[in-house]
Amino acid sequence: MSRFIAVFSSDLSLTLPVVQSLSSRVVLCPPDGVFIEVSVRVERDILKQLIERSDRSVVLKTGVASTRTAAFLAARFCSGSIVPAGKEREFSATFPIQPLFPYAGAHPDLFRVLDHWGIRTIGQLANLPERELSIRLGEAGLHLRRMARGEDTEPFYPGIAELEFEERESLDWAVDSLESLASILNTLLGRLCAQLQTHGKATDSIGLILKLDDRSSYERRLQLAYPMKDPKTLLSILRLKLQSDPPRAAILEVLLQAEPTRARTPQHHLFQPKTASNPELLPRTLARLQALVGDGNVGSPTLLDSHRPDAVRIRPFQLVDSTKQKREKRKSDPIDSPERELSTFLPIKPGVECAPLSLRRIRPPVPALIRPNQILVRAGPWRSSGDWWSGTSEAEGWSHDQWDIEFTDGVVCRVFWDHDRSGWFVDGVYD
Amino acid sequence: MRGSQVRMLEKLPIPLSAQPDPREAVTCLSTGIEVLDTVLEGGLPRGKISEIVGTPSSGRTGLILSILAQAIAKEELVAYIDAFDSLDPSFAIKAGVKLKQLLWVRCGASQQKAFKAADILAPTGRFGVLVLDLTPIETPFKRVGGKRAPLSSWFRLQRSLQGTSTLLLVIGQASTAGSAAVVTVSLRRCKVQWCFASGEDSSPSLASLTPFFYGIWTEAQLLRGKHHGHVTFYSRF
Repeated sequence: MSRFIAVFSSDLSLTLPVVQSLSSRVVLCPPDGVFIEVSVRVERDILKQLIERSDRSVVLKTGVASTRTAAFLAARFCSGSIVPAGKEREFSATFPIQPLFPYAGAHPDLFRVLDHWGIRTIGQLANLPERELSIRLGEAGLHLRRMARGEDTEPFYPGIAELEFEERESLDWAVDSLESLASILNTLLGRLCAQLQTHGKATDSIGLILKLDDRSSYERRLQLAYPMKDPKTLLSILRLKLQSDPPRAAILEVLLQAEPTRARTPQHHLFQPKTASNPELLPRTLARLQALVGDGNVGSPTLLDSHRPDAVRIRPFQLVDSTKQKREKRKSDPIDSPERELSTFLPIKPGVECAPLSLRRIRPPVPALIRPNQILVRAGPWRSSGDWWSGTSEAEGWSHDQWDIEFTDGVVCRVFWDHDRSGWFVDGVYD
Repeated sequence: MRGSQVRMLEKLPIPLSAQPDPREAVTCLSTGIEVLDTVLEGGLPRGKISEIVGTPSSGRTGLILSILAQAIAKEELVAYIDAFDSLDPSFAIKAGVKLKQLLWVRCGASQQKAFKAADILAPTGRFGVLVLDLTPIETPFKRVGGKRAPLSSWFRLQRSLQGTSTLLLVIGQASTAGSAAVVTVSLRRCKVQWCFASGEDSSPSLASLTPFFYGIWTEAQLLRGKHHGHVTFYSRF
């Protein structure tokens, strides 16, 4: 039989590591509490260890019961008490109903209604008839009544999704060199990765926030291609970022934030060198590329949901989880799959091989002065326009007449007449 | 050493360190075009540099996309280093390239940066195919070219590819990698095919009918490789 220990702490950041070292079946109770699921035989031992291991400066309020609601009420009103199984309703009958409202997430108006009816204690609320309460207060009233009877309204899902991994360092004097900053980052990353390691997590997104001497702040978020927890690799990625995009003033405070994600174990190939199959090296490689060609120029292309020509965006490159990919492949509709697109390249005649044809874009499109004697064959126009509704600026909308033209030298280009700029432009070359 | 000792040594198994490295066994990646694979004896060799060269509208980019699709079908990652920012991802999807597995590096019209990017990516061995697109912008109205890279740069790239299963594909107007490339395929546009509103192929002189651009007939010639030969294939939407 499972029991719950409710723990409310004056400093949850100090208590949480102790709680997690005692049990993995833990869930947060915002803003300052945590529930631990334990078996009935060890509840007293765990409570004792929790108090012994906790920092003496931290004030703890604890309660043990068979449900989380009863444990919550025990910790709030009678700290240190252990409620016997089946006695939850009698135990909390005399407690006031007001603290139950934030825990239940009930609207404060309900409290005023119950107060108007003369309902002051949890016992009085628990004794209200169910049907009549439902007619007058609806589902919210029934929810409160169930809690007043010491019942849990939601199943227990262990896990601390709200856990934050961040490290902060305020500096005594401003730092203006990368080397000095790197040594501070090294310390912070060491602590951050140790935290991640403790919780069996890794990170695929690192946030770097620097408070600068000129009262501005430098905020950057790095998306990593593979979840990692190696401080050396993360430091080299941050160094590359700071080299290519340095802050504009000296630094007064450093804050590092890591978004936790499931740690993956790389599977090495039997006949390949480890460097080739180690996915943890890829984020550093991508960081080097970003430092070379700039942000927004490295990643996976994504097509935008627009008819605008060349509506493409680059998003951070992520290593695809092969198992997840296979699952998606199984689920995906064969009509939308690229394999179906490939199957459209059928030979025009039996025995003739077919390759896809592509357009080599010219970004931005170049102006052209097209003379009729240059044109061999032309096809078009295909008119398209859009985004004219989105704003007043002419640059946001477009209105094109698109043509495919074979010039006398044999090159086939896609050109368009821009109605806004009244001119011909070359969009690309078919190749 | 006496004869009996020599015979005894001959009977001993060869230690693993003295055996040929299995990584050195050259594997090939199919181009997706059967006739071209036949000429190339299975496809383009991995761990080496291969070149695809040709004039504008000769089907170079389409062939590259076909090769990328073949690698992606084998669940491999691919990278496209785009010196002049000319890749159109919508056409890549049509060719069967899954964009999630494609790393696109846009170099902002800098061949030097493209080379440096290839230098960074080639030794990692993470990518099945690495495309180095050095094709300059070439239209009847604008031509932007770059400098020819020194041969030593190509040999450095070739050295860094050794021991990996990465195929480095270079696209350009003319062969630049020289003897550092093991395969050079030259593409030539034979005929541009237009389809007219009647639905039948016709000569361009039938200007009264509405034409549609239909595709390009390409002749591929193997300039560098084990054998020489040429084949014809068709590129279309």
